[in-house]
Amino acid sequence: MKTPDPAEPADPLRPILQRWEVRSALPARFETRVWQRIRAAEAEPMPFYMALATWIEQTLRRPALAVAYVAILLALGLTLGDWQGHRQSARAESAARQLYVQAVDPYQAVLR
Amino acid sequence: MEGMKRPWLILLAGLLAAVAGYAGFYLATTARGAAMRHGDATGLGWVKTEFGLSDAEFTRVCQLHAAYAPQCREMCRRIDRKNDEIQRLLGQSIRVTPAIEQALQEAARLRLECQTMMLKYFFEVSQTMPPDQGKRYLAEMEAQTLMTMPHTLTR
Repeated sequence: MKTPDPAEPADPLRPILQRWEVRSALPARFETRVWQRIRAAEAEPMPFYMALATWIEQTLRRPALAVAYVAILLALGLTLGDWQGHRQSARAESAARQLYVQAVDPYQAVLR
Repeated sequence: MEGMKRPWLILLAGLLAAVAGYAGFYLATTARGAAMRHGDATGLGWVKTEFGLSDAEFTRVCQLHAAYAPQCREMCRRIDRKNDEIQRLLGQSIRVTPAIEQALQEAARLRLECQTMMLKYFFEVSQTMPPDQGKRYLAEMEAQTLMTMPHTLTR
């Protein structure tokens, strides 16, 4: 409990609260029920998003893992970008070649 | 508070690194394809990029193409007319008539004329290129045109 600071102005509520007594009786098996509720809350599985958030917070707090995480994602981005870029480029090249062939070969020309 | 934010900032930094890496490599590798398509409905951009033409060489190729295009269009029209004639004759007969035979001979002559015209154009274009690229261009064009089996009756 916080001890009163002599520098603080006197709180008029303080003496009243110190004199206050709870006279009503606690319900039957109050303490047992409280412990039961605490145990039940502890036994309840943590929701997935909370577990994930906790795991992320704990894992990325470690510098080596944080660096590895960023490096892996960067490498994944580069690899995927390169792969998709090459696929797209090959398609564009094929389409452009076809366009030229159609422009010079009457037998392959689309109707103009 | 700062300590709690740090893992989330690292998570975000990782995702940003992935997006930046993807975009960078994607744009770099598709730049060539974009150059081929650049404002081009004739595919000449492909010739310039594929065969590494200089601006002067490319200008000459464009001139040759501009001169060739009307001949090519006229050939297209003649092929279309001949195909229509053959389709009509085939629709009127159940055997090979002299008229059908003659139309097929004319179609074959037309194909010969067309292939000769194309070859002349290909040779002219190839001669505007450095010798190695010219050979590669000829080989590519022969493979794409003369060596294919065009569906003449389906045009």
